[in-house]
Amino acid sequence: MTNKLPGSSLISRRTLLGSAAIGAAGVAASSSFPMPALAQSAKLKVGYISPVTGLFATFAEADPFLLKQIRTALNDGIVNNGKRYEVDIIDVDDQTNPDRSTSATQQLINSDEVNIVLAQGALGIKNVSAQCEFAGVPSITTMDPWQGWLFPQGGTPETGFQYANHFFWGIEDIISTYVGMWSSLETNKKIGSCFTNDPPGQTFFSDTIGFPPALRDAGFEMVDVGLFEPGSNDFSRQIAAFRDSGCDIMTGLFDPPDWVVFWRQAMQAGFKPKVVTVAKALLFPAGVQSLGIEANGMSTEVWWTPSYPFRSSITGQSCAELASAYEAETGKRWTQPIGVVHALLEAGINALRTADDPTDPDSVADAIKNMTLDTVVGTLDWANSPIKSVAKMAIAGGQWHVDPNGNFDLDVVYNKEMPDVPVTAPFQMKIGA
Amino acid sequence: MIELLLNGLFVGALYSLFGLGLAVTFGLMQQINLAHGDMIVLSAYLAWLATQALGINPLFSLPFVALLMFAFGYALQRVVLNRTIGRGPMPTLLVTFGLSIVLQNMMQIGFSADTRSLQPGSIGSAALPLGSFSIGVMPLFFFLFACLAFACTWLVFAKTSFGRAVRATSDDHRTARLMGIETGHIFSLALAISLSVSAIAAIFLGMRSTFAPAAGPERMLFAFEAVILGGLGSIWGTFFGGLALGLAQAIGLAIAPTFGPLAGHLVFLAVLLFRPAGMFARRNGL
Repeated sequence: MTNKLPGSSLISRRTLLGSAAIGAAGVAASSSFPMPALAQSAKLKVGYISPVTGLFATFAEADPFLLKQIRTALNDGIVNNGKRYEVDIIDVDDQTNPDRSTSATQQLINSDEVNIVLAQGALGIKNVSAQCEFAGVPSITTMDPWQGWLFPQGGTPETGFQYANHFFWGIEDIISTYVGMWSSLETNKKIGSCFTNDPPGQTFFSDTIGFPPALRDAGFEMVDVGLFEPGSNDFSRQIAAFRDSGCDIMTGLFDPPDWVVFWRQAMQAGFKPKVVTVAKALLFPAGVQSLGIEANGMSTEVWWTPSYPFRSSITGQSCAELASAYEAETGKRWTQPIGVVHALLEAGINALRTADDPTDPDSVADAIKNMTLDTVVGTLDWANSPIKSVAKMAIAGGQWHVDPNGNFDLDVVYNKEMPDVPVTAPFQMKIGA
Repeated sequence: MIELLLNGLFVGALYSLFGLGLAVTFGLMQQINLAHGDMIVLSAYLAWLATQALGINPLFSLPFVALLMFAFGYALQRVVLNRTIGRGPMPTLLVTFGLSIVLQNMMQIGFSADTRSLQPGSIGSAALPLGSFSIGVMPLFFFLFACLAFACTWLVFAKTSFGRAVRATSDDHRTARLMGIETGHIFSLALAISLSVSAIAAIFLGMRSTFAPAAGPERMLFAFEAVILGGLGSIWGTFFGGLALGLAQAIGLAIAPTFGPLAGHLVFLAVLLFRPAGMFARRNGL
């Protein structure tokens, strides 16, 4: 029952909007009544599902801005094979709840009859993909390392899926970036690591594709006392182990709140690593702001920054223009998901633009499979990808610089995997004030 | 090992503080406030606003936040929750559940989904060396302050006529009214006190880690466990319930890091099985 409630409210809202629109059209142009009916047949619908509220809300914080921008840019519709189509983007909040992702997808497919489903958010997208694959509706998802999306659904790199598609980086990219960053510095090569006990953390810690074998090969020694539960309040056990074995490097996968707990405890317990490179927790300015000056010099992976030298295929904006438009409109700092979500919308719209028949699901699915598109995060290439249904995004390495006044900036310090992106500062071994 | 156990006690003191406000509403007023966790998060946001506006250390925002939450608690009980007295536990449960959702969404609109933290300043990284290891000055201070907060709350509810009036009202609000107790006013004061002591928990939480609009229910879980472990109706029981939870987690962590939180829940389960009334439940009084 709880699943149906939000659905029904959506219907009523949309029915209301729909009838209002028809009413307005009737009043405005009652003499040419058949015309709106004709226009309606040339309308394409895009469903967009994201965690606007709930635990992953930070990943969707820029969504209202991005959707508004795209809607404005698509005001005149898109042209496919010389025919003009109106594009209607229907956005749904899945509240970071996978059950809602499922019901939202069903709703979009069955009631709204969308032509393509786009979705982001590590928790819900697998459900979205599964529903779309089942119903035969093309979809593109993002915001989860591809291994975590492909394998749990029973996919293989050789076959992929028919309708479900994904783009993001993979665990191998983050490993090579981190190892590359650490190898450039003079340390005792002892690494303390802490990964969450959830699917991403288990992948990071995997003895086949994760950090342990890669670090052994690169000549690093890894100190790890085991996975931790997300939401832990006490890391004294891990910190004591790292401190007592004299680790110079600290790494791991943390949610932002856990990382603040970890770091404050580490300082109290006298654990002072020289290099701190942490995934996820340091992605967002808010995560850095929580630590203030103590976050100075911490490093992380970079998916997108305003210094990326690419342009949007929809709005034509450069990355710097995209970021400053966001900052001007919302008064908030840019965040990395802005680039990724914008690229997701670019890929979805491009599929509709390039499909032989954008109203035919198979034709749109083929368009995604054959797509090579330059987006704000770089080139997304499904056509030549060795992993079927997955386009890989490259990542760079970044370091936060915080000054005593609390101003902070993410500089790109490592770009071996992403040579197009300029390095904006050297990688330094200094943590804190 | 001593380092681990001490840290366990410090975390436990924070759990106790989460539970303190709930010990008053749930244990003494016999009114379940499902929005307790969200009110802690709201207090943390108020403290954040105060530190931003006045540029003070979060600790000094306590009087301001406690006062605001006192007023909020009084108004909430007076205007809304008093209407549910004497109709069994269900209406209060539903009203506070709804309130929890409203609060979460209002905080999301007002403060966005960003995780925030209260900057502890230099006390945040200060350490007290104890031989081969060191402990944090901030957690030690929290622990001592928690003891003080519990002592004050216990005094108010166990030793004053106001405390007796609260217990009388929750036992039988009609008879209490016949005895000349202004039950509506008394209960409103009790919730007001509950929320203002929760402000302490909120500020310590914000200084130790971070908070976000949806973080309330998780705090709620530890609060409930601390109250029930200690025994309903016992203020000090909640204190030791929280400490037991923190210690169990620390011992679990020492066995395996994934086992930490589970160990706390297992102790909770064991106490429920063997002493369903809680460790320190007493039939009469506090």
